[in-house]
Amino acid sequence: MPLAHLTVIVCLILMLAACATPVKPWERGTLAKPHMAVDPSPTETGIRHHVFESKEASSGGLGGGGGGCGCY
Amino acid sequence: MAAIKNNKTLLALTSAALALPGMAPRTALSLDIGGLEIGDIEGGFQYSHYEEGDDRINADTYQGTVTLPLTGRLNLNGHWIVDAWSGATPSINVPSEVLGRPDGDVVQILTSASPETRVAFDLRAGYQFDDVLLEFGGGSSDERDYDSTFFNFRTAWDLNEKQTTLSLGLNYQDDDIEAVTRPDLHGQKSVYNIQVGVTQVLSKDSLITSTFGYTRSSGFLSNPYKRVFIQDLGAFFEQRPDNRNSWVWDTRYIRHLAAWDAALHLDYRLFADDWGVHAHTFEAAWYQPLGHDWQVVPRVRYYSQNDADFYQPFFTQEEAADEEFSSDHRLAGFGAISGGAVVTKDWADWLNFETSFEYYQRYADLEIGGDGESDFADYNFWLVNVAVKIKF
Repeated sequence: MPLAHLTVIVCLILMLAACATPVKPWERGTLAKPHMAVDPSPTETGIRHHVFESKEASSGGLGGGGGGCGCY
Repeated sequence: MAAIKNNKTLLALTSAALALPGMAPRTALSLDIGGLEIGDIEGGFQYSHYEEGDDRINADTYQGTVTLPLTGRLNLNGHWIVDAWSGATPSINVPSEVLGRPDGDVVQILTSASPETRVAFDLRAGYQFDDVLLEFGGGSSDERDYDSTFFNFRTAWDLNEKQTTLSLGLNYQDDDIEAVTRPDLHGQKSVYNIQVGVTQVLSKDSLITSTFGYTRSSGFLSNPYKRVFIQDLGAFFEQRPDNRNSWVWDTRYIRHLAAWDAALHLDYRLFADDWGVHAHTFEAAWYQPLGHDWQVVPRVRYYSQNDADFYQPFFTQEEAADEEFSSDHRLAGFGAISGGAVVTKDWADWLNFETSFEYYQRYADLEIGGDGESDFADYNFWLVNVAVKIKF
């Protein structure tokens, strides 16, 4: 991946952070709801990613790594 | 009115307090063993069934997980998985002329694989400081022809009154590869991976998380069972490069919609590697609580990749001259669309039930900027999960 692409990605992330509205701890009731979690069902996500990674070329790169082949 | 207003204030304060680490209500059994308090032990079991259309391969997967929270800050987690699969899988492509059908098509030939089983486990320990999480893990996976050992490290650092979280992950994997049909093959593969991420609270009802990952793989990276057809020469085992560098950038935006008490999850993932593969994944999920602790989650996913530099459906002698060649349909250019739903139900605070279904259809024509050349390899599968989580 060219360095320019990575630079664009970092800039986008910094721009998003700059857009954030300060949220006090007592205002985070909604954010604490289970369906607002980044991954509400990690075990189910694991098996989906395992299947996709064994069927598509863009395997791995995120998650905990490991787990062998199991590439049916 | 004053009482109602006070109740709303109390509710807001209570919700905010519950959002803070360590403030979740303790509803389950707690044990005290030698002065070490073990509470809210969580266990989970999941069964999954995978099945491809046209009587191709099918798989059953069983998983279990146990989490032991120790001292309020130290968590231990154990996870095991058993896969069993059998059925036919693509082995080689040949031009139709070889089969006496001079229509210019490519024919994908499947071979029946013998039933296989994989057994894997991993252990993880995590310690939560006030603003920093440290996790160490590792495990192994064993198949008749594939053994893997892996180690993980992950840390997360909360900043800005916990509105920003930075994360770093390091992973190492060492694999030994054999093939039932190639007794003289003993391949070895090493995988190094680093991930950096940021999660940012954007407002009272939205957040975004973005992760960048780099992976370097080296060693035997071919599939030992896949063959290529070289015109006038016949069938040969595929030969992929000995190294692969890949980059992935994944960004997820999550927004709560108060009118429905729903959460919209939007995900985009960009993948690139030095084999020439670029891939895009778009995914959307709508988490909708239904009352009485039921929830339904419809979701849809779109995927597109272009082909690897050394992929061809079959090869001429000139094309195969550089000694890097593969006809594995997973390295072809294609698109795919999938969709399904998850249904969950909570019983009290200690029992959760979850089931999901997903249907996946590969379409060569759905590749972004593609020409549908690999449509001979199109297929479909469905995946169903049933899971139970218990707090003891």
